[in-house]
Amino acid sequence: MTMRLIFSGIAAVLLRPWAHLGTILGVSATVLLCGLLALAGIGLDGAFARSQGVVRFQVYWQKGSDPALVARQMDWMRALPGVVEAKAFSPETALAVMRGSLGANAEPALPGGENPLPYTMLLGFALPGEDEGFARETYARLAGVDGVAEVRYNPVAIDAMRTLGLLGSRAALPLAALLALLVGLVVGNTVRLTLLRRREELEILRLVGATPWFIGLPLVCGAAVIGFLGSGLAVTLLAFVWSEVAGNLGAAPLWLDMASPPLWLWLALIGGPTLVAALAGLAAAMESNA
Amino acid sequence: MLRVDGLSHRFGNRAVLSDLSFALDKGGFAFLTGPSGSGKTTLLRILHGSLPLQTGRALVAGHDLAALRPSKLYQLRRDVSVVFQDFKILPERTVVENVALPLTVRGTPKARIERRVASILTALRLTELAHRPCAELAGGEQQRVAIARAVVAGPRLMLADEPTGNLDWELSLRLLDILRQFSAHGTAILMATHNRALVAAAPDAMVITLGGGEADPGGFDVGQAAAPDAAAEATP
Repeated sequence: MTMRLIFSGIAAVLLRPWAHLGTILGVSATVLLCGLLALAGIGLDGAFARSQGVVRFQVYWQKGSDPALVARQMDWMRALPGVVEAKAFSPETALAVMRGSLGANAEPALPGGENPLPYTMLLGFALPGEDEGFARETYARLAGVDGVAEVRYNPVAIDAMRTLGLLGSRAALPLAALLALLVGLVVGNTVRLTLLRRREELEILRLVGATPWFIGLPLVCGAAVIGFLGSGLAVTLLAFVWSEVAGNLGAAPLWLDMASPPLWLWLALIGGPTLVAALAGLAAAMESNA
Repeated sequence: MLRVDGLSHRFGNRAVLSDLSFALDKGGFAFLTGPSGSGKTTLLRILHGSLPLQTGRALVAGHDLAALRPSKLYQLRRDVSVVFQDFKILPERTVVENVALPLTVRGTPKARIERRVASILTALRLTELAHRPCAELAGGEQQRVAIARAVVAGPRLMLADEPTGNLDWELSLRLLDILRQFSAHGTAILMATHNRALVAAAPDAMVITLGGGEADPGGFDVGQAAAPDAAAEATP
């Protein structure tokens, strides 16, 4: 009997998905928005944490520089004191990275296939304390290398990232609580109102002698299915958005290394709304009994 | 089967039922009559557990309403069925699905549901409509579906609230005949109606006449056969 009730609740949603489409999309939209905020917060927080204390310089050589000389200069740069990361790009590898960032619809190569990009190198230095003088001196050393056309270095951006990282870590808990509350209110109320449209049917079931269990269990199961479908759709979209965004942020000019979101976040984004929806189903059942 | 002693009910300051007492035995048939606002529907709702018992005592199919907990209300409703004036059937579901509902909620095996529903549909001449959605049925057909649902699980008591309110005279008489047949098989029936002609058509039935809306302790002729005045109200 119990299994039959569970299946009837699930079937009520799956056999008439169009009747619940609006609710499922509403749940999806809410979870998607909250998930985007959570992913952004967690991803950026991780990126900031990794970039704290590291100042990055991007070095551009003149076009047509001697590859052998550039290779020696790159080795010298890698050996500079305080270097914690170094990424070197030949014109070919830089073009490949740019193609990957711009997508299939844009072609960075000049007409005739000429590569406009020079040799470049991204260097990350560990900052000794808050020593801004170190950053300026390093900039001068790099810019003075023979054949180097330009060195980009933005201490203001680094400070801003550092501040944002600090703010992010302090705001993480309140933000998470706010997001959970938002999901709870929107998902819960949307599902509850959808189920209460069946008030007449529930009333008839009560009048013919249905137990509270007979009425409540299918409602809870149906609501959980709505929550699961809605959040599942949202998480699928989120995974797609994440793969697109993380790839672009990891390339020039931001070089933000966005690590994959943790498994618990995906599980929470699906499990949380599903649980909230099930509770809303329970609330609807109790409300219809009142 | 049904015993009511000193039952009174008020909505705010307005007394709707006052010191009502009557009894109905197994297989008994009683009309509940009175003008609009006299408390017919209120009494039926109390007896079915949809309204709380305020004053008095009511023993309904073995259930003491004063002692019945809300969580056990379903037990009362498995012994007492109701036919509503507005049918209260699920329009998008088929006749079979609607009629089977009381058995389905009891967890009755499917084969037994099918047998029982088929038997009731035959008795009420609904077999040909069995798989049609109720929304496609005429008013009289929907009323028969409601009655089939009310009797399918073999209730000890059936309450019927103006079941002929939407029917013409011929259908009303046919409905009365059907209810009398179920009554003869042991189901006690309490049928609210303000149709005096219908009451006159069953002269052996008990008649409970309720008074007007305001408190009127003498406004009930309990268990007394009212004098049906067909010419006054009936419009067959």
